Amino acid sequence: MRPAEFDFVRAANVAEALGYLQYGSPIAGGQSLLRDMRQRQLSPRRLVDISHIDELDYINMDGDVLVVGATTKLAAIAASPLVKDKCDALHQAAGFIGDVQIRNRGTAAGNICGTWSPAGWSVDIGVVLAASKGEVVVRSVSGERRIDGAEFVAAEKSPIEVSELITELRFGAADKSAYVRLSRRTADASIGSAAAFVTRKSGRLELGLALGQVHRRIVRATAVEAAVASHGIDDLATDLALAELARTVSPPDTAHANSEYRRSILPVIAKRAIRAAL
Amino acid sequence: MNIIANPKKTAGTAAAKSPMAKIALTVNGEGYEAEVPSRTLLVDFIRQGLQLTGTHTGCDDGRCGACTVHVDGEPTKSCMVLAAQVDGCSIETVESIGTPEQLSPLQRAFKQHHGLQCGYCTPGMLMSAKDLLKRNPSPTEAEVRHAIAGNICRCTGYHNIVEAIMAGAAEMRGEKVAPAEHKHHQPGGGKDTWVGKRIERSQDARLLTGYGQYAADLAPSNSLHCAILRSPHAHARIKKIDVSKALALPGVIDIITGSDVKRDYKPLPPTINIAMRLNTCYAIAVDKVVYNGEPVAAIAATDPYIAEDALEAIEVEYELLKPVLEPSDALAKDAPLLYEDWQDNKCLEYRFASHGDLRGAIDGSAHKVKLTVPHHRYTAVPLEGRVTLAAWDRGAKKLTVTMSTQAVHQSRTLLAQGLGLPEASVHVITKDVGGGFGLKLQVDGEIIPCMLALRTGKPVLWVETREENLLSGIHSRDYVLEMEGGFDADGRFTALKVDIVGNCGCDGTNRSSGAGQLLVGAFYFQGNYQLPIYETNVLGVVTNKAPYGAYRGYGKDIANLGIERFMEAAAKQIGIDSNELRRRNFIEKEQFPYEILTGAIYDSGDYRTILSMAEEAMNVPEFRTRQEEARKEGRYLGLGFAMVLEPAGGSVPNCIFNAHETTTIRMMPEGDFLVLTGMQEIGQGIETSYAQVVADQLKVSPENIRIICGNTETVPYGLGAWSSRGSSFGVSSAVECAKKLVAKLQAMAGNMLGGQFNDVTHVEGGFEAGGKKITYREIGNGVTLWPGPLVTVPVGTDPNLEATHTWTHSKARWIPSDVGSLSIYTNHSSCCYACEVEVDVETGKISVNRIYAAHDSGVVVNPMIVDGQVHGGVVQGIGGVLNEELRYDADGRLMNKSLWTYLLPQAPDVPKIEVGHWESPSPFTSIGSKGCGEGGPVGVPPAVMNAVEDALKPFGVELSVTPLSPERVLSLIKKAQEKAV
Ligand SMILES: Cc1cc2nc3c(=O)[nH]c(=O)nc-3n(C[C@H](O)[C@H](O)[C@H](O)COP(=O)(O)OP(=O)(O)OC[C@H]3O[C@@H](n4cnc5c(N)ncnc54)[C@H](O)[C@@H]3O)c2cc1C
Ligand code: FES
Ligand code: FES
Repeated sequence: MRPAEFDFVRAANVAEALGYLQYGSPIAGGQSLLRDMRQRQLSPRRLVDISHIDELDYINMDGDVLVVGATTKLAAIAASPLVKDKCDALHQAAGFIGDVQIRNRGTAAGNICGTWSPAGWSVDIGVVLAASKGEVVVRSVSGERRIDGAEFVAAEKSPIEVSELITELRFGAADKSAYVRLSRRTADASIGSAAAFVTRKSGRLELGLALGQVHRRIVRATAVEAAVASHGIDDLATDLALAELARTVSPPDTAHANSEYRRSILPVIAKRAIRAAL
Repeated sequence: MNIIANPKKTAGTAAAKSPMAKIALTVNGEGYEAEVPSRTLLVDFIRQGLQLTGTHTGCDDGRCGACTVHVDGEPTKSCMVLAAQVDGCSIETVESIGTPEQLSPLQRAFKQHHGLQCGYCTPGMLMSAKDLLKRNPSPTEAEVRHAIAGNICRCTGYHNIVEAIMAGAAEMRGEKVAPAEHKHHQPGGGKDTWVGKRIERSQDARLLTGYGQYAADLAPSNSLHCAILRSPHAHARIKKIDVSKALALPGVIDIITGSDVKRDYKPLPPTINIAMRLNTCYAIAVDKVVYNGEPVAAIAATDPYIAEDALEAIEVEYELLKPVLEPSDALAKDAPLLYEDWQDNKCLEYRFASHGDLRGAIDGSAHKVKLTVPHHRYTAVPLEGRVTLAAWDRGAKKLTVTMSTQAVHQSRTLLAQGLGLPEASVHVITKDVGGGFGLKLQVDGEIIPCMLALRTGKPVLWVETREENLLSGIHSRDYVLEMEGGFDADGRFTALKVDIVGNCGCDGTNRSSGAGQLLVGAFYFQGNYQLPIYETNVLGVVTNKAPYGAYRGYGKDIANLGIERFMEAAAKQIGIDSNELRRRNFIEKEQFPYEILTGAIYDSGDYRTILSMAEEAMNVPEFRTRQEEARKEGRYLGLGFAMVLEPAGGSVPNCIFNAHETTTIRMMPEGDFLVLTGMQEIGQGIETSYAQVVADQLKVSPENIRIICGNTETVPYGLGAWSSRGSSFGVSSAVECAKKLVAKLQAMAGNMLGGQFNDVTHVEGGFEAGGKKITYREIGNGVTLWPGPLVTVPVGTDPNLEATHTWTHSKARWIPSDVGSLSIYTNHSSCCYACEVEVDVETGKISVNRIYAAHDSGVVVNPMIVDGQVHGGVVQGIGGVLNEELRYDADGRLMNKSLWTYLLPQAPDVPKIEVGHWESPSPFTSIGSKGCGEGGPVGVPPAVMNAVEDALKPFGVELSVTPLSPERVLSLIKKAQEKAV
């Protein structure tokens, strides 16, 4: 199918976008939104094209935090030496998303919003954001606010208001990070993924762990993080924490993989990600 | 955009004007300014607005890559971008890369390496490859595969595409590329003949540069666009349809529903009837729908967007009925009936029993083996879906239908029957076809745009969406085999019994022709083996699933999966190597021609040799060592083999898959030739291979020959492309026809040279007698114009410079023997597939690391094309056994309605494909050729399954379900582990 009718405006900069957003929804790369519009599962009345806002197209360091502007393309993230160096999990996750063509248009901000789209497949960046204990920077005509990344992607419905624009994603630092992802084919939805961020502070191991596609929403595995920090990865306590998490999640049941499967691979991918980040 | 107003309808309707967007952009270096509806997708702007039809569509939502263009230098899927979003950008399409006369190095490499078959994916593939080589001039094979992960090719299996990109890259780096070495066992070896040579294909330059002519590319700008409203329910009565709101939308010209169809047209005619029960159905459901996806109404509108708006405005009231989805439900005592004039839900019952006491033989066997083999539902998914463009000439009373089909003539007959038109008033044209694989062999949805064209008097274009294709474009497989057999103490077959129950969906006879595949399966369970006693019972059941049709295999897949899984299970039980068991039972080389119990006559083969070739290629002893070592590290490798017996050239009575093919060869006065064939080019390369075959007969170069097909007013009635019949029917009719023409021209030559007929010898480009030569051109000119026939053509010879020959299969036997045996295939090719897999036992994920095919399809006309057929088939086989699946939920709604959930193989996930050739020429065809198109989807699933079982041997896993998705494999491993504890 093709989309229903809508009005279209292009925003040249953030200020203009914020003005338009009063009565329209943003479209960035459109790689998630247009699919839903083509299925006519979503039919926004007015679209505000933010994909040409150059001032939000950047990858920088702010202290030890990696910051990515909202209109930065996934391809740029995947190809950035800075990202690879500072946040390997993000580098890997961005490189896993879709295919070359999708990454050339899709954005990281669009990806974390895509989690609420009817298709519900956009999870890869959100898992990394949550594991890194990162933040989402949101702006509106009345100012700027920051939302905890893990809370953002775990929310049942989008925590941003219609008139708000995500301007930046901030990924927390770690000594080493990794992203492990299972899928049926190379360019395909994940059927379970895990991001692990490991930092050693004065002999103590600190872990950030988040999982995608094993639950309705992205989950940050705080109990597992704690178990690994105090007992190590090969300890029974870690296994128990993982088993408990696998018991309590409510995984999606889709044509790609049923919920029982997702539950059973949860501990496997979590451990693979942690090991890769150690 | 082309928006034609309908003055009659829009007058008085205050049309709310679509929101518009002004855009200015550069396309292939030229600037354009336009005002388009803001919802216009870039792909529509390019194809319809700019008429650049090299950019294709194969899905609706960013999954296939056929629409790939560059936006500001970056590959982008133009179906997932709004034209308004690229305002100010620079776009490049395939048309910018090269021209048919001047291919770019990359395009040249695609042509040389046979990197395209139907060519539908090719423009997108080139755009992705071009970008890769810009970023990375020396990519590895893995990098190439990843760069094209977003571009689906359904034909080539990616192997040659990858080779072409690597070779193109090398050439662009200025390196000399050594031509690949091709091992080929061929008597004659193609040295002095065109047959046997790797000739580049004649259509490729066109297809590589955007000059393809697929049906949708040919729509005139005043075409109306057809959209079909399909039932969301599997089984329901239609209580009421209200189209008034939809009809009131500006731009909507016509809407047709089932009651109109029933009043004005005929039911869908049957395509096959062999011991089958036919139903009465119409192209649009009349009062009841029997599957999710059945047409309920159809719209003709000035624009595809408006047609789809109208879909949402039609109101239908349904009364839901209980759906029956599985044969067990459908056969239950008080199961709801799909067709209320039937007594039950059975559409096919058939039994065959050879002579001999089956029960006694099995009971008295040293080894009694039982096996249940279920196989899931999947389908062909050609990258171009079904497309029909119908135009009704009111004055001439003639319907011209340009459609994507594998069989123009049967389409014409079926359309005429379904529309109630004289057949001579229907003209069917098929130019390029973006893949078929069995899916384009019926007239179902295709007839709907014809009805709209008859009603509106305007050309009507129907381009099915991928969702429509998956919902209704016929399904295949979906059966359960109950097998039981015996082996004596030496491991020789004593008897075999197979019961098949097939889920034929709502229809395997009218809307499509799939019911016959169950019979083909039943006829061929004997496979490559000697078997003393055989019995089979076939039951076809109708359910509330999509129509049942052909998909590359048409029952040969059923027979081979059954017998090759059975041999594996038997070997395990007997305690010998499965290839040893195969060898003990093979039909031997010396025994051909060999008639099997069901009556088929195997023409030739050498099964021992191809099995040995496969074992050697896989280096079994080395593999076993590696396997052992890998297991110690917790990695599970497996090796599996499967033989394939591939009947080709179907010759089936009472159906559209009949037993004749006609060729006309016409010499031009200028001495070159047209070959008119009823066969159809669908990417399998007949345009080139037939030219080779005919060139040898006529003693000219293939360049002097042009092949014409796909036009019911040009070519003789022929049956088209299916059942790999080109190498038997197509080639043999062309060869015999050429011989007739040569004999005729020889008589003319003799006369013109003034000598005796006996003296005349056929030489390159003409004839010789008495030391003098006359060329084809001199004959053509002489007979036609200078001076003319009265002095050049001998008395008794028809001066017409053409010949026609109809080839039928002399070994076909349609009169059943006392036990009911029949012979309905001309040839029997064979292969042995071997594959190495690795299974991740923690996640259930399977990787296919190596595939080798030892392949024997008799004399090979063009080895390059045959290899391509094998590659493509192998990858379809991998897709089918691992990932592709059509699943229904409990209410009978299809769960895999797009390429997001119907998982086609992608380049990075499949291995290189190694092919070895062996040639056992067929005594039944004119040059010894046999069909070869179906081996992969037939042989790869059992080979992969056998390999996976081998890998999981330490766990004792027996594979009982398909596809081998991670969830199924993991759950089998877990169950086996629990059992072991
Ligand atoms: C073929 C294909 C394969 C894909 N594969 C994957 C995959 O493997 N993994 C995966 O995670 N995703 C995948 N996707 C989904 C999609 O590509 C990504 O999620 C992409 O990153 C979305 O970004 P976008 O810029 O295109 O978002 P859009 O589609 O433009 O927007 C998505 C949503 O986010 C909102 N939005 C976007 N930017 C902002 C902003 N700055 N502020 C506020 N709201 C905003 C939009 O309003 C919309 O609701 C795939 C898509 C396709 C078509
Ligand atoms: S048509 Fe665009 S990706 Fe399939
Ligand atoms: S050649 Fe690739 S889809 Fe046919």
